[in-house]
Amino acid sequence: MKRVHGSNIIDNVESSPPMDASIWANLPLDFQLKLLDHFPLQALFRAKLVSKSWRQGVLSLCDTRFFYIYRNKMASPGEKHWRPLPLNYLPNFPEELRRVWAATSTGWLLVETMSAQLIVTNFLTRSWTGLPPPDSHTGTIISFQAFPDSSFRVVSGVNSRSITVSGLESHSHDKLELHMYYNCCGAAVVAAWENWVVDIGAFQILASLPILGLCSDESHFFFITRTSLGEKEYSLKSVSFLDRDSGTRTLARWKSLPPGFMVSDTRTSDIFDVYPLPVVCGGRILFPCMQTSSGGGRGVPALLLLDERLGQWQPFVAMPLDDPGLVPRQIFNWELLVSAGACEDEVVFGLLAIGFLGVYKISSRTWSPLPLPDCKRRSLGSIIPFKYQRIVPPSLLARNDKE
Amino acid sequence: MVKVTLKSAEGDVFEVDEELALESLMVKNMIEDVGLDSAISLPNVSSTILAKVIEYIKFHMDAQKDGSKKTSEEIKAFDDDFVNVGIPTLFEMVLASNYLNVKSLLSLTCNTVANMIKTKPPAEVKEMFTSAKQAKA
Repeated sequence: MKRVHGSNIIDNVESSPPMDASIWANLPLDFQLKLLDHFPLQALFRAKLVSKSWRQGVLSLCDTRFFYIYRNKMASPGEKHWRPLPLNYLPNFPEELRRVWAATSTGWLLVETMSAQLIVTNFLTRSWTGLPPPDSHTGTIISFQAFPDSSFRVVSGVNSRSITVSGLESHSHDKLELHMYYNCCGAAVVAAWENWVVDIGAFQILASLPILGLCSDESHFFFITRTSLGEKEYSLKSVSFLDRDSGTRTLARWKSLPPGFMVSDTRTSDIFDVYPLPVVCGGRILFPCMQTSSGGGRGVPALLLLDERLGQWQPFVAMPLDDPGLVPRQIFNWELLVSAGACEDEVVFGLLAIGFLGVYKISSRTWSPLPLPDCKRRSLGSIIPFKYQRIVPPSLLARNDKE
Repeated sequence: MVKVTLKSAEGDVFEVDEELALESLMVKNMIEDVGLDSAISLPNVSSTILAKVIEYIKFHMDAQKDGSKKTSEEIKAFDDDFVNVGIPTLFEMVLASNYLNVKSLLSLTCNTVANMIKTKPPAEVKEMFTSAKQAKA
């Protein structure tokens, strides 16, 4: 049955009769709290003030909500449309907003503005704080983590590629730099960015465009490199941004994916690669790709799982083809860019060419579709699932109160 | 087509297609438990409300069928019109859709109520949802 969206129903409110207190008071409390599911965020904020039970209801609700963020839009599972992120309290929103990252499992967002300023904010409390400008303006955020004690860490990465042409051959060389900012709660002095260069390996270049995003877990940054000379061999590497001296670790090497799995390789040239990025989800390292079907020519989105002991990719899950509500009508060719983002046990899967977005929930082993972003320019790597939790840093709250 | 007999609070009898009746998870469970032989008694739902619920389910089932020409605008217009009712009726529909466990209708009616109160100040909402007796206590 159709899922209902009544965003315009409010238009009828003026003409509807006044709410009769004697009727609604008969609604059992647990039922009243069900109404909260249908409140927009700002209204939830107000609803918290209604009564203690409503407050509890709001908080318990918020703790379990998943959102997906796409540029300046957000959607919850099951919704059919993206709606604007409620960030209109930020200066010059939305014109200045460039990209948004979410700290998994907290209510915090990291907003990058057009002028490369970074802002950390919680849109329920409407508190926000600007970060000192990073040394480089071209970085891509690798990791944004917020901690219960109100500290947070931002790691960004910059890749600079130099291409040397000698005779007929060209050689590419990548230099990957990491920038890390750690804001310790209550620290008297504003922290500075720390920078260092990552050893990605001799004769190696990054296999994916950093602009599509980068992959990390709580402590490690994961990236895929490939050999810049001769036959292409790919490696999955990791580096700890908590322990810089531990060096770069190679987790897997492959020339091709397991039989039956592939990624579009046609967009890859000697200079630029558009290899998918791995995602870390619930401690697993997963790789988004396509699984070929026996029918030939048709493929389904699939995830490979890294067997860390063997250093190999293993089949993990493929989207079922027999779900007509989920599977896009046409997945005919390989001219597809595959991307994925993850939060806790959910992986968001995107296929750029046909504009498909789906979510795989590992714990329940279910796939569900996401609404398509209604903007013409689709960019991958920017769909981020995140679970909302109300963790309000006292320092940010205090700042908010003063204003 | 197998028919299911539903009996409202007033004792009025509604004969509907089984397919339609199964949209109510509560009725579905009842059918599984007691079978189709006897009428399913729904003492908590009045005839007026039951008729509305059936109208709602029927419209959406038709709209979902292959070959349905209904656009999403038409469906939305139906929904908007459907909940554009007096508060007592809306209240009854919320309770009925919950009791009958018709998820989409519950969602629609709750959404309507939420939209009515989402712009109201907390004090007013509190007044609305607290009975006079509770307020004194």
